[in-house]
Amino acid sequence: MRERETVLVVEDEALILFTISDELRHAGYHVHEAQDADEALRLLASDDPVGLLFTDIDMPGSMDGLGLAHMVRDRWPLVRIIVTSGKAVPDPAALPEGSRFLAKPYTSGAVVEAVRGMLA
Amino acid sequence: MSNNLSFLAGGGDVGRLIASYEWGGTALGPIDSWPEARRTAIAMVLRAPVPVALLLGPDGVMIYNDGYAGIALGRGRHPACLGASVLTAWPEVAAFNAEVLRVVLAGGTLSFRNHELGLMRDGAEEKVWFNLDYSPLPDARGEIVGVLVLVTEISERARFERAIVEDRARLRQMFEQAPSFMALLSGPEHVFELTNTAYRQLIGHRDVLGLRVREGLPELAGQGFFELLDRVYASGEPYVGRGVKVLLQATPDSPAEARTLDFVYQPVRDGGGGVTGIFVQGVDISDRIAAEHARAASEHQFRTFAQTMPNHVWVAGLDGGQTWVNDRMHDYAGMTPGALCGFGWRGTIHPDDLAETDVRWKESVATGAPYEREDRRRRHDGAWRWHLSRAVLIHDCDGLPRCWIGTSTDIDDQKLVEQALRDSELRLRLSQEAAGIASFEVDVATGDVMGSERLWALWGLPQATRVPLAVFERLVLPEDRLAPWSETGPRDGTAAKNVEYRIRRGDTGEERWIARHVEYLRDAAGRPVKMFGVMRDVTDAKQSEIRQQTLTHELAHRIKNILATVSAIASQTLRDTDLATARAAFDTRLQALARGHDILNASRWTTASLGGVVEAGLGPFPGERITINGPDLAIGPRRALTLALAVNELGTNALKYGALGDNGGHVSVAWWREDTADGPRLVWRWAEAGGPAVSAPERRGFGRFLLERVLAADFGGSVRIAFAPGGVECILTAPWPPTQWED
Repeated sequence: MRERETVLVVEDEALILFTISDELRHAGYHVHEAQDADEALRLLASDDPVGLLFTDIDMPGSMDGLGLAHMVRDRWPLVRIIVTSGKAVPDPAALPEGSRFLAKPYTSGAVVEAVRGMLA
Repeated sequence: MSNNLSFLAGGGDVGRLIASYEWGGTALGPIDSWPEARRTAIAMVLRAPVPVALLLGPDGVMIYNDGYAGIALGRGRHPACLGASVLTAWPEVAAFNAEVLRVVLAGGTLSFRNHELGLMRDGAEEKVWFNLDYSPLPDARGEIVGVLVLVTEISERARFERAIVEDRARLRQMFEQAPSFMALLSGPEHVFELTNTAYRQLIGHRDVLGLRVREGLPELAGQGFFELLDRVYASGEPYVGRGVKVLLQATPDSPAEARTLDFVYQPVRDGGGGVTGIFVQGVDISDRIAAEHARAASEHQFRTFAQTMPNHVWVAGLDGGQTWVNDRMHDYAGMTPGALCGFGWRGTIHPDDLAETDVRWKESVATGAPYEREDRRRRHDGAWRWHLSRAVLIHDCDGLPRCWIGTSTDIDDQKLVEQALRDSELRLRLSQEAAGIASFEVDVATGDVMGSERLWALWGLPQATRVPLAVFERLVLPEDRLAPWSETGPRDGTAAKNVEYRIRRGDTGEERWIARHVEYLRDAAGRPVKMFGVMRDVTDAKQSEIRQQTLTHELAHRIKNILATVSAIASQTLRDTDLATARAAFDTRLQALARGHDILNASRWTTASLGGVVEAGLGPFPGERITINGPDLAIGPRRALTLALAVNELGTNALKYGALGDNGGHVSVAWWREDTADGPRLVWRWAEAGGPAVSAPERRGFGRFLLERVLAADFGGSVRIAFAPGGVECILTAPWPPTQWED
């Protein structure tokens, strides 16, 4: 591993958020956790540059995960994006360019693998 | 009056006037000097009962009797003309009288017939006719000395003759104008004396007067008429011919035409009883015969036609009684011919129908209105079958009612089919009503829509027999407008068979879902003629379908989230432990999750009561050693699940190591609101007491992960766990109220 990449995990369900985060940390990543888009944007604006955004689509709050993903694509074009949802698979055209979709439920291994693939 | 005037005695008024007249100044001289012959003549004249006058001397001095005075008075001349010259007394006819004097004084006579004169009679003038005779009056020596004028009144005879002339003219006119033909033939050769208009018409207006019959009507030769005339003339016996056929020519060149005549040859006799001619009189009945034949033919035709018809056909008189019925009617009733005539047919009508049939038939007979009636009629085998009877009043060519012609048709089978059809239609309608199905048809040519009652109700339109398609199309929601049919759909037959679309009801404007199914009826060329269809309001089904879809999506989502949660729990549980321990722990955690689900299912995943979640979460643990206390608080599904898992972790830990274990102890779960400087807070506290002494474990397992991180995060607050000697204490502090998000 070249350096410790920072992954921002956004997921409203704390149990899942922390489980994923723990797995990613275990895999060697630096992880930020957010339960909604507002918190995620705050973390993105901090000094620690985020290499990858892993966000759930279905979240309460002013913006859902898809909105967040698009905003990140616009404002931080270098950030890799993985979008996940338990609902129907979204239209690929609705996803930000270069992003990837991971359907719920996923295993921790699958998440780590997807993140690793995007950051390779 | 002296003796020498005795010749005037008995001479009437004029006699007395003569006696007193001054004759000295006249050409006759004084009366005493009158010769005897003149006196005798005057005496005779005065006594004559008819008007007589004497014109005496070359000047014609007038002496006359009372009879003539009447005539002269009629002209205003009497008595002025007495003793005057006839030439001055009648100046307007002086030349005539001068001629009379010249001729008669020379010994001639003159006579004039039918001379019309006015005469005073009974104080009034009357037209009278006279014959005038002038003859010479001689004296004693035979010399002509005057004129004797005899005036004979012939008025009565003149009047009689005039009447005869007029009668003759009238007879002539009647003769001419008589509708029957007439001719008078005279002599043994039968010469035409007279013919009337009808006769001339009969013989084609040929001029036959003065001709013998054999010359005038040569085409009769060989037809026996000449011989008949000869026989009548010879025998004096009249001949009457009826319906005699004769061939006559309209003109000499035209072909002979057959006519039928009724006629009489009547011998005409003179005063002595001898036959002098034959009067021919008769009527041309050809047209009447032709009409009778035509009627008979038409009657025959009608009956032939009526006999071949499968229906009952009958003829009735103006009184309503039947005069003729066809054989079918007898066969049907099994009755002998004639038995149905008059009102015999009434016996075949069903007793229940007879009264009404009588009323209807009488009404038609009385008013002449067409008759129509359905009633049951008895067949020969006793079966009652429904018949439709119709009759119309027939008029002759003069517009006078003649008879009724009627038919009765067996409609029993039809009636049954109709009833069956009605029943099935009713059934269909009822089932459609019950199923909420509307039926309709569209006439492709006109684009008109006809539909069942339900159709109008479905669309919220007023009931109508037919309305243009556009009325319906207008109510379809714009975004669904192309669903029912393409622009040309209803016309070219390309409308989709099964579609669903939304409409806005005509009356309430309410949005409804309509499901429509159509089929086309096509002509031989395959062109659509009619579109038949059914419609159903599927709004409720549609809404529940939408709900169902939402629910299915929701369920799918929830299941995936549950699996994600389970996956996370598994991932955490399996971390750094042996499989047997992990299996047991995983099992209890899944059960805790399931209990949380039970509570949420009960509330349809809206909210759950915090107390309820705690109670359910602690269900597997010894309840008598647990007290639960706190206000009624609603929390969202995610917090409820997390809390259920958290309570399970705390309970499991207490059972294994703490106050719920074998060594005794007690757990108190309580929550309350606490107002702080930062606002109201929820404080939730798990406190163990009376159990064995506990200490913090060496490693942070799933329990602590769940409590310190997950529970805290989900409630947006913080969790503190204390391992006090009396037992574990876990305190959650979170913002109040605990439900901020809908989730």
